[in-house]
Amino acid sequence: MISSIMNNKMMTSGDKKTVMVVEDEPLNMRLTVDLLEMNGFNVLSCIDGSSAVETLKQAVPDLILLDINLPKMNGFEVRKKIREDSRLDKVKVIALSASVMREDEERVRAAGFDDFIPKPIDTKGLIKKIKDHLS
Amino acid sequence: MSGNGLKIEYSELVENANSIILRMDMKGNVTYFNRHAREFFGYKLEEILGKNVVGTIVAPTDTSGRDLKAMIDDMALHPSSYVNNENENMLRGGARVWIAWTNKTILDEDGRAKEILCIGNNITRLKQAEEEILKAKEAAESANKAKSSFLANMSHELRTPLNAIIGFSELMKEDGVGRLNEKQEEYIDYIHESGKHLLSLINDILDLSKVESGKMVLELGKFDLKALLEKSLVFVKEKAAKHGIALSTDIEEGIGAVKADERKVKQVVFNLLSNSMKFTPDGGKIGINARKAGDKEISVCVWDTGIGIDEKDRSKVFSEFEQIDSEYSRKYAGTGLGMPLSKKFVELHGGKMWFESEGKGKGARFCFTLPLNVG
Repeated sequence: MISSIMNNKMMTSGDKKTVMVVEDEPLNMRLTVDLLEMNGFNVLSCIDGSSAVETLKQAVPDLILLDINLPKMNGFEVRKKIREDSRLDKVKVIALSASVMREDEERVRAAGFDDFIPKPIDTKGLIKKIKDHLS
Repeated sequence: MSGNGLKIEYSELVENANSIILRMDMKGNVTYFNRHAREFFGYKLEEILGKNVVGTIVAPTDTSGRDLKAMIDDMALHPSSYVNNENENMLRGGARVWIAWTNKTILDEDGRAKEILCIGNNITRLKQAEEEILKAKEAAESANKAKSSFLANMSHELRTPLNAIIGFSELMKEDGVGRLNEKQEEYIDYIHESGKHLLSLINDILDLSKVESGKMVLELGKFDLKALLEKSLVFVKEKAAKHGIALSTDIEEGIGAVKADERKVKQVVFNLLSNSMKFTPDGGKIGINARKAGDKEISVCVWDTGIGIDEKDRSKVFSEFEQIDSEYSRKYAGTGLGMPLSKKFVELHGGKMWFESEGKGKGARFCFTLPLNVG
């Protein structure tokens, strides 16, 4: 298992960082994926919480953009699964959510996310934040 | 007047008083029932004397299920707990009424409780009104909850498509997408601006509803007001330059740290500046003044040489969704909620907001005060 992860990492060319996007809304997924690719990231995309958890068994991205309101398994549950897997200790996890009330943000921060980004996203701001977290 | 004469006079008084007056023994059997009581409850004297109150004027349980028989039993044991007592009673036909009673224990020669003297007033209408008010209050609270959750859902649902509208229109202008012609670029800007405008509307509506439902909590902290005011000007600098508008500040020496909600104060100052920008024709002037007002307050004013406020428009300034029509009102410059929201933010801090204008064409001056020690 470990070696396949290493391979996966090595296949990603040079110092390109890998960002996983977990998002169920197709247009929002397309937007984030295109934005990341335009800015030179490798992208792994998952359309719900449980497929994200499955994918994370095979691959270790550098950062995860995780929607909160997701079918099957919500963002909080995915965050918990990530925490239970020591291979993912160093992966940054950012919540990307359209629930932007103060209580929503507080819940996200309390759940141990590295950051909270409200939707609609500011495309330049999002890239800057991702770079800050990865530097 | 002889003692007997007095006695007769008092019994006439009791008999004819417009209150329910009755006596009962310690078992609850009626020993006296005045005229008003008979008329009110619908009994003749011979029909009620000697009868127990439970089953006649007191139903065994009231409409809410309270055990009134137990209450009458308890009254004999603990009369002092029932000196002033409100309870449901029953008319002869079965209709329920509410009576406010004063109950006085009458002692025999040995000092033992013999009877209870009860004087009652019909408070049925009062009780009904009270119940209606309670129901209305509950209905209002649940409507308010429904409104909050509706707004939260609306906000969430609108943000999802807005994410695509704002996001893709930003991506269209990225180099990787290819060059747009002039018209395409202009149209994309309109889509982007409109999306942003819609977003500000949603945010302002959420803020306003939070303030109105009393849920807006100030996040108080110390910050440098002078620095905040100077930084705010930077936001409008570019636009001011484009329109040949001169910006200036006049901030009194010694205005520094204040304790307030920085984000909200910033929003207020930004709203005032945007407002001045909107109504100041090219080549005008906009400025910020700040000074101490006494030992306890700071006053901040944003002034401009703009179109001013006509007498007839004065009442519209702090109203929701009101924007003063004007040839200078630049498109998409505001949501119509900025001013009322700013005023509410200031008031949450315990400050005041007002404006001064000598009329149309004479500029305007919007001021607010902030207490130096909030919270």
